[in-house]
Amino acid sequence: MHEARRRSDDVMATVARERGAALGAYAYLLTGNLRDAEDLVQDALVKTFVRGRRIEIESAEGYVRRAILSTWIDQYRRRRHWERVRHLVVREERVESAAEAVGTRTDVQLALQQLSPQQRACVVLRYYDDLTVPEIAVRLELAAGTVKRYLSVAVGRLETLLGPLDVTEASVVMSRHEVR
Amino acid sequence: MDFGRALQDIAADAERVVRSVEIGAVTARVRRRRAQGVVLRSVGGLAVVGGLVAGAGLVAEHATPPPPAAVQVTEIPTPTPTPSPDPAPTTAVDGWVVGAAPCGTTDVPTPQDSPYLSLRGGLIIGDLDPATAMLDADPAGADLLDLVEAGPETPGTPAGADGDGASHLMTVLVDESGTIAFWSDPARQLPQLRATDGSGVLSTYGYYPAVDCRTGRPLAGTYRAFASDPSAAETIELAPLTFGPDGTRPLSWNRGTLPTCGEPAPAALLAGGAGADFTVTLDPGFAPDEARSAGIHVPVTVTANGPGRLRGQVPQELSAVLVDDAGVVVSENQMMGDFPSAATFDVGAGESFGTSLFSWFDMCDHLDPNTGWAARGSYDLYVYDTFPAASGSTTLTAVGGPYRITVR
Repeated sequence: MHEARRRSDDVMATVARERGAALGAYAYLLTGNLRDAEDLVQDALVKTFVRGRRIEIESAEGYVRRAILSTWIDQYRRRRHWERVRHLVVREERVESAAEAVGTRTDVQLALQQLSPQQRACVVLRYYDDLTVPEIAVRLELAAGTVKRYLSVAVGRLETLLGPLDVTEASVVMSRHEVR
Repeated sequence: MDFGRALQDIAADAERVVRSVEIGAVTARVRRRRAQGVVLRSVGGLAVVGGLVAGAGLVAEHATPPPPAAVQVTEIPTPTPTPSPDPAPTTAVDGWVVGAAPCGTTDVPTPQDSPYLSLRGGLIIGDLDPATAMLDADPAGADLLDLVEAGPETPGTPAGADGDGASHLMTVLVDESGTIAFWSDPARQLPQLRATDGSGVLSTYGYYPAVDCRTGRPLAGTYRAFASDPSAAETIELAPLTFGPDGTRPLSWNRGTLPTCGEPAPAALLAGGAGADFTVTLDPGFAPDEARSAGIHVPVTVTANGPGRLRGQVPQELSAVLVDDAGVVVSENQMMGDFPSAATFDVGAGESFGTSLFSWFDMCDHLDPNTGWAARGSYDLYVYDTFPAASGSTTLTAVGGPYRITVR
């Protein structure tokens, strides 16, 4: 048992050291905030490795990415309550200086922040991870129809803010003369 | 805009500036958690069915517009909570901490319709089975599952207050005195759990102990129920809820032959209202440019075809399907009449009540599994839905159309 946990901890340390930055970037796509992204990665690592299961190094990053997603959506629901009492907790505030500003695509980043967590997760999985709708449905434990709805609403919202995206969307017109 | 490339650019920039994982700190947390052990409460739950998730999820929709003036409509009485036969004591359970506001107040939200947000769903009483992480529906149960959800007013449009995509959804139960006896307090929500039977099922969000927030005692009797998002000025009244052995059970009914993706439309659908219990007509004031690619939301009139009188609870909304020129069903119909509204109907032949058609055009996977969009062209839209009669043993069918629509 101890040997298994020690190996698990070694895998965790390796993933954190070699893929930590990439995982942080992935988390940033969801949170839009560097500090939250770093916290999210830590939470996901703990969630993935706390049981000391045998996880091969080759598949470990995939497990952690899944944990990032589920933890993000889970935390949002609790954050609504947390924000009411946050002022009671002293927390280290990290000021993002110009040198730490993340890139120049502020328009896209701001637009992403207008999406709900579920919408944002679907958008990231679809257009960053290139997953299909059925694959997203499995990853988020949702019905495919629900994923389609989230994507539909999200793309509509993003296009309102960013203009046309390179995704296909058809408009439906009901002919007044053909209403029976 | 190459949106996928934009996301990659953002991720690449973030990767350059994100701080390294503090491996020592993470390892310490992991070992501390192992030492404490993991406490899993056994609570049953409803598996994530059809993506129904209570809380901030943006999926649902509800609106009950007034019917056209020319149509006969039976009066829809407002349900009144009945005092429970054995009123719960008003003193709190030892050690109970009274819930945060609006618990115990008379600040009952007033129904109102937001132009951006719509609500749908309901509450189910039961007991969570830890083995399956599923809900065993039982009006005498100790738990309450909140399946109310928020979504855009019209499919494909931004939801939330002013279309900001955010939802601050809250559900409340109001007792006979007009006081809030329960609300969906995040602090009271039960933790999400994994089934212990090895099935891998994860309980959904939205479980609460079915207790009075003022006293900690089990809810008992009948309550009016409301779902509200004050930030979006959207409030609906849900079907009332009765706790106790003879209380509210979730509706179930025989859905019959459903229109199935990729299959020929059933004869009952093509026959329109003929043969159905109700004929559904779209609001004559509906304008073509109100239709959107993602789906449709329009007031409808539901008219009884007879014979005899039909009674039941007005469904919160009805669904529709698209049929191509070959007579094949090309859109799915996932959300058929799952929850009733607070209103009831009691109609004879030719009499009507009003509700809404709200339907996403979830295109069938055989068309395009990745986008879900309809191919350009023309389709026939049919309203098709089923819901139970008051007796509970009869399924009523409502059919309307066809209405010709064109996807551009």
